[in-house]
Amino acid sequence: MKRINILFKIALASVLVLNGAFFIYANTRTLSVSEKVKPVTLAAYQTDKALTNENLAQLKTNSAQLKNKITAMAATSGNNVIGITYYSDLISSSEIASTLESNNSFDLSEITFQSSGKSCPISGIKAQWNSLLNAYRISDN
Amino acid sequence: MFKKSIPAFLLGALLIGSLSFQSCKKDDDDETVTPTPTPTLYERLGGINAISAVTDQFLANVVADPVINARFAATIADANRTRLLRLNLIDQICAAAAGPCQYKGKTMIEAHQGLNITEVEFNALVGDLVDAMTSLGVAQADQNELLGILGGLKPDIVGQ
Repeated sequence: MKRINILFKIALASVLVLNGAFFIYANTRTLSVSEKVKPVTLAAYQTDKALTNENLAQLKTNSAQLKNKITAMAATSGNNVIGITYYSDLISSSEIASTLESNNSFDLSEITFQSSGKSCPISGIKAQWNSLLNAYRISDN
Repeated sequence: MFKKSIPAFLLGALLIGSLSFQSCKKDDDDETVTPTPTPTLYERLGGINAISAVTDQFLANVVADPVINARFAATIADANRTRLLRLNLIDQICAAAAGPCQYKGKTMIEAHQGLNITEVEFNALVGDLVDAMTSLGVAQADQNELLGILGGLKPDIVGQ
């Protein structure tokens, strides 16, 4: 019992030290110029019919309401996918969808991409590491 | 007395003459024009904010591009991967434009090994980048310069 207590205390101390070290590293490292750029979220929407030029014009009008919340929008006549980059702390993907649908002759549904086969190999491990660093960071400087 | 004053006179003339030439040298220096440094491609593109805007538009174009969007499925599906992809793209463009960035991602060969990217897919990607730059008002000359630098990566991407 005594041994278990000692092991538990050692494990707890190790976790605390590791967290402390990680916290210090995350907050003292110098961010690169690109890391200081506010992150965006990527979303893709599918329309139930191919986009027309009228749809594109209406999309442009609708997207003006989302100024400063979305950073980019892409849609092409004849296709049925709309690409959006947006600040997820300012707007949700469902709000974006309902704004874009407004006064338009199509319905939108958000696409959930499924990975099938080999695709652009951004390392999942490195992505998780970066995400963890950002979670520990309390300042954007 | 006159003979004794000749060396003094010559010495005085020499001194005045050398001082005159010194002032001329100073005038020459004043006329030298320091050339204004030519802005780098990074500066002409508009700095990091403009590059991130181009990158965002490029990513939106890729997502909406039926030729290649499936290639990015796993990355688009994961917010952390999307974030890292965007960071790598910004760094790559910024570094190529002689900006204060360092690309820290995989080499193009490592990143595309085994994907068998076709010429059609590569051209679609380039087209999405061109469309992004054009829509954001990047000058044609600057577009060509950036594409010339990034185009050198094609052999490391296509057919790997």
